[in-house]
Amino acid sequence: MSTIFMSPDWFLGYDVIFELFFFIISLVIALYALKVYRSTNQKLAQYFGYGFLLTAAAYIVQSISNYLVYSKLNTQICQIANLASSSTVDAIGTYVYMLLMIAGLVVLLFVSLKSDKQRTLWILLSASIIAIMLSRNPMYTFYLLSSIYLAFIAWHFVENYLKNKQAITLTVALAFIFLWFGTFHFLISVDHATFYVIGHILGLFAYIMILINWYLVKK
Amino acid sequence: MSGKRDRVAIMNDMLEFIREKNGDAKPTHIMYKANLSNEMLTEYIKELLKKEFIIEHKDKDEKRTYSLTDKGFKFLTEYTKMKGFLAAYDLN
Repeated sequence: MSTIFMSPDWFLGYDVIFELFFFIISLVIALYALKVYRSTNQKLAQYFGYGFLLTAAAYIVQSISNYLVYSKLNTQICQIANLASSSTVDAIGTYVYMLLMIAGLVVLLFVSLKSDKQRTLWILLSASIIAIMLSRNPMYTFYLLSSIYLAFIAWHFVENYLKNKQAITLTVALAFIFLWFGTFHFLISVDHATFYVIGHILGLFAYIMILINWYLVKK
Repeated sequence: MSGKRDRVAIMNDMLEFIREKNGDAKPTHIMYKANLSNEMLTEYIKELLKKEFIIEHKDKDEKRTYSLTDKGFKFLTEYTKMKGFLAAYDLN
């Protein structure tokens, strides 16, 4: 997440490309889900679209933030905005990323719960945001919450695969298992620079699975 | 797609039946197949004609039949893909 503190030097720049890829795939899925909602009036498809839209927004913020850190633009932005240090831009980017991503995951969790009570969504969302904002270690709290939410989302998709054993359900289940492990790994890892790379690679596997799923659905 | 059939699901059922009949779908058959009242059938047929998913044919006795247009075929294909998407992510 925060490049200054976590990314190994040799990985600088590659992460921006990874995040742009995640952004594009998330956006495609979000827009298609919203199209499906307009055609079928399936409310869950609408929420699912919003969830992926927030995820896509999180990835583009992360990608831009990381790009700014490597480039000279960061210093110029600091001068224009009168910010104390160049790491401020990265810190803001990291915070916005965490809030958008947790909001996206909460919406996807809400979809997997199949609850028709919107209050469930707002309670989960407000509790998650408050927990991150008030935490002494926001990043750890973010990864802890994301791991719990992704575990439940992945579990839901595994159950869906077991009910309906098809390639389209298998690819979705695998994608969310990869995403969960990529996040959970942070909590148990000692070397966060290695985590950063492994997290991105697992994310890549996950989004390749989502892309394969997209191909299977659309062919 | 859900417990209660929505408008699009009903239109899909009607279009699938019309496709099966290969240009010889009679209104009464569509009504029974899609489980609609006469009033609802008229309303849905109007909508499908307006969307240019079907075309109407009349024989010498003024009896009506319906067949699918290219747009209707495309809708059916796209709807099948959408159902696949909903099933993949369990959004039904």
